[in-house]
Amino acid sequence: MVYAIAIATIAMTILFNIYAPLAWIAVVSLPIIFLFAYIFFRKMQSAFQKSDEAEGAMSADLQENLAGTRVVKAFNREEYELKKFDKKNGEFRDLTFRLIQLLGFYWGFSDFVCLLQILAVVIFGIFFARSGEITVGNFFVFISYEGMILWPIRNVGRILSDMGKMSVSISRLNEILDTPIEDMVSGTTPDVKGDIVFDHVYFKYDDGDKDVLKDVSFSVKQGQTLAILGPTGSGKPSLMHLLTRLYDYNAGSITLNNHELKEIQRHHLRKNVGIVLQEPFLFSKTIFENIRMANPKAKEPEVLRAAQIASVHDVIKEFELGYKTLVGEKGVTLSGGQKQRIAIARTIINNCPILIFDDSLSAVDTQTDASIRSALREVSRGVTTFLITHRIASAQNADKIVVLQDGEVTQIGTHETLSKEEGLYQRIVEIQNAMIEGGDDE
Amino acid sequence: MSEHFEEQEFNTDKLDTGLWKKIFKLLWVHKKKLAVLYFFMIMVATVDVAFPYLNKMAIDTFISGNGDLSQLPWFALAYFACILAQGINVYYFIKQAGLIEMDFAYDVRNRAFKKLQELSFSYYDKTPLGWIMARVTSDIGRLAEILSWSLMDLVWGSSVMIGITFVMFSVNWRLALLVLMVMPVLAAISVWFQKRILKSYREVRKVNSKITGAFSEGITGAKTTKTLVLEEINYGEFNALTHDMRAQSIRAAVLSAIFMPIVMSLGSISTAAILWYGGNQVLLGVLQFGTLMLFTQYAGQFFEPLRQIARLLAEFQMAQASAERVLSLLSAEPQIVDTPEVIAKYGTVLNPKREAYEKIKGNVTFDHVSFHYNPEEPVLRDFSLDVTSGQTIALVGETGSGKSTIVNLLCRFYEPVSGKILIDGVDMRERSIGWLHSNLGYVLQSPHLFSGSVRENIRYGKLDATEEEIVEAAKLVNAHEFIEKLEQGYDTDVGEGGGRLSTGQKQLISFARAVLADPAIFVLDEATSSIDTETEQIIQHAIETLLVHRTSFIIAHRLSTIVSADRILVIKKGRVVEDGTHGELMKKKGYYFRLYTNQFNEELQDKLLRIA
Repeated sequence: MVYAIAIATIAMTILFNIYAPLAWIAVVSLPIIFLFAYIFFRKMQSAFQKSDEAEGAMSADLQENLAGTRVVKAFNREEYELKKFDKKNGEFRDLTFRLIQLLGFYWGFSDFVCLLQILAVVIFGIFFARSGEITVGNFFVFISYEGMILWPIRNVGRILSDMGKMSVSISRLNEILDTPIEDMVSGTTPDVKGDIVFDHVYFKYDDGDKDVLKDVSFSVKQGQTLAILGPTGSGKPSLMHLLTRLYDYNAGSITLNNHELKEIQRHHLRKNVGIVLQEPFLFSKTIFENIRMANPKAKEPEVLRAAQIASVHDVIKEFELGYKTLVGEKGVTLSGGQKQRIAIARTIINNCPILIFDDSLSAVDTQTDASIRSALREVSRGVTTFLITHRIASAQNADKIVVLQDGEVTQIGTHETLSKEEGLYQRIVEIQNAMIEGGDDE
Repeated sequence: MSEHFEEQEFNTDKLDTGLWKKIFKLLWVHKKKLAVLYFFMIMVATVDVAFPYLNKMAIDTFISGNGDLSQLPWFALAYFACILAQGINVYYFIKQAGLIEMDFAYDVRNRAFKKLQELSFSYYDKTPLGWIMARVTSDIGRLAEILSWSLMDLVWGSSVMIGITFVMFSVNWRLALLVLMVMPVLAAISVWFQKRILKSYREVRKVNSKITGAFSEGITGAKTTKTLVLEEINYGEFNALTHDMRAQSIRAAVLSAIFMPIVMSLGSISTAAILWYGGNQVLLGVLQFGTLMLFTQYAGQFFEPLRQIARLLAEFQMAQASAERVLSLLSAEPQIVDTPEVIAKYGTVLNPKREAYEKIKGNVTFDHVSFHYNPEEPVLRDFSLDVTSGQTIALVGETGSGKSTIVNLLCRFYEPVSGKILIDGVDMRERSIGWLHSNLGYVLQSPHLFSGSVRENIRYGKLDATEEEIVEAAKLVNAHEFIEKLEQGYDTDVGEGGGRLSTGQKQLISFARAVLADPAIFVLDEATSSIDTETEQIIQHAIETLLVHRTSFIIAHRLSTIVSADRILVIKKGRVVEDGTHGELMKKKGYYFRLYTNQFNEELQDKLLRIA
């Protein structure tokens, strides 16, 4: 745009120096063309938007159809879908065609005006040249330069109107940039070992009005395994959010080797607390890279060992490309259990003193679950482990079991003590035993 | 099914004429519109060539010669006529090109969509959704653009060049040769540069798509990133990508920046040659001043079309990949097709002859059926099964045991490798796919709803259903109550993919949809995800309603569903290992017993936890 304006300006300056009256004639229509372009493209924005939206609607329809192929086929609705798509496709065509037609009108009309402007210069130029006010050469200069002035101006009007759209984008961008970011660096970096104490902890989410955790107190010693058992909605995940400082508790205290959790630097804390999420996200890289992600310095034997502990080594070996298999959209589709196990390998490779399994064995069958845990026990002596689970089988070997109901701790003990104590845990154990022996109906 | 989908990298170094022939065949449908477009383009070119000539006349007749002014009005009028014609030409050619672009894209998109409706499941298994989306949206768009606007530029460019050459030679052949002298060099340089410029723009686009991918991963994987403290690593990778983007963009810009001056100086050389030679001639009085001016103007005008054509050639090369991918979609063959005899009798899926459809009873027989997705991993081996109309069959087994395959075969999403499936004693393949599907109800594990209102989604089961029928279907599955509670009742928009509703609600609506379709055979792929107790009870009730009087196959996960089935088939490695009612199988203390105690007690446990 700068180039266009520069050329036009220089050309105009020269023309005015040669012969001002003809130069005035040469620029008389410029404001008109410029304004016309500006106003026109301003007005066009809604047409642009409509065409954009129609395209979006068409893609959305296509996407839905593809995602729902099974439904479409099973209900025998191919014909109906085709009609639906045809409508969206037609709308997009018509709206875009309308847009192009408007553009055609603009370019046609502005060409007409620009060319008229040239004609004016030619006619007046003839008179001026005949009367000797300008030379033939200058007449030629006028005609050649006229084009250089006119054609860029049309585009300038268009570009200016596009800038309106740009300012909207800029303000949106600023909105994102202005959002406060999580403070990763401030705080202490104490040596983390794995003694954890929850002392009368209360917590609620910013947008919630109910306490998710109420007066939660318990403690774990380094190297112990703590199982947290509770029904859906009892606040199990929130407990873990607190431990990794994804959220901070509202009242009470949590300490890590006597260091108040809130004062520990987030970066440092998360490096020491390994968590495996229930629905882990794998990046679209190879399996090897995924396992190594949190610890890029890890060597191949370490990666393999982590995979073996997570009982996923054999599965990976069966893939054609083994550890080099790509994960994600372009790669293999992994089952929920396979994903969870790779995520476990990814987490344990870091040798964190604290490990959290957030229901992360839910998609793995009971036997594999058991073998993963026994392998873990072998290699991770001294590691404090949290097991969030809904399986009694997983919980019963833990050093300590916490039963969480409605955000409150209702029972604490071991499998032995809790089996004897009246309460939720006992009821579950009893029913389970009855079921295995009798094999009766519900 | 760990099959890889390899993105084909098409060789773009050479123009594949066979490929373009096929593409032009698609374009040929619009030949009349194309003729109109090219007519206007030639008109535009003619007027473009005429203007410098008119200017020459202005100088030679009215200025240099101090000629008769009485001719001036006629001259002005001719000039004006050309201007008016040009304005109109420009409007029409843009309109016409737009018409062709949009019509072509519309046609090919509809074709592609139609093809997609016909393609079998095996195609969807190995082709990612994103790939198909990109073919139908951007690739077809790009092709349409090139075939309308770029081809048009070609017509315009060559017309202008031919026109100029013609006028130049008829005015002064020596000067004409001078102008044309630099053209071959110019052409070669243009092609060289345009190729590279477009190539680097393509690189930019490639990096751009990687950036988008990284971006969306960064957002969906935010929790993982935070808990594993991967912020810096991810940022580093993203940074490398944007860096790459910048480098590529700069490269493209630099190329363009070098290209323009080179071309301009070449143009100036030719102008200088004309001025030097022509100037002497003018001084000698052999050449008119206006003619000299005409040639300098033409020398400048010659370049633009040349540049356009060079760009066009490069564009066609780049678009070849798009063309190839679009064609590969259009020419994909569905693996499951009806025989010509069946089509003759029942019509195709898109043009069914419903009057020929027989009534179905619902007896299903699997007769020594074997199946595999790939030969090394057989999924079903010599599988036989007899189901009488009205029975409820629960299929139980571990993931990968072959449960889903049985259902997929029953729906004819796939066909057996050997053996056959009979419905009411007749081989499925002797009737059309449309017939089967119009008698089949299918409810998915994760229900898929279409954007639109609740009513529209239920009506999907029976397009001509009345309002009463819709409400009744909703009532049958206990969906009516919650639908009424929605802000706009049955008119509530469910959002894209049903996103505004909960999983339980989506399931109920998908049940209502199935009830409305009133199929004789019903397939249910039960959800494993946990829903709140209340909704689960409602859903349980809905399932029971659905099963009445229908032959049903359920891939079952819920205890209550399994227990109440007429028959439980325990599938292990593609074979039925146990077959009977819940009571019978529990007494056997076999595989089912173990499965039941291991897996299903968990569900019970969870329920208990919730009740407690």
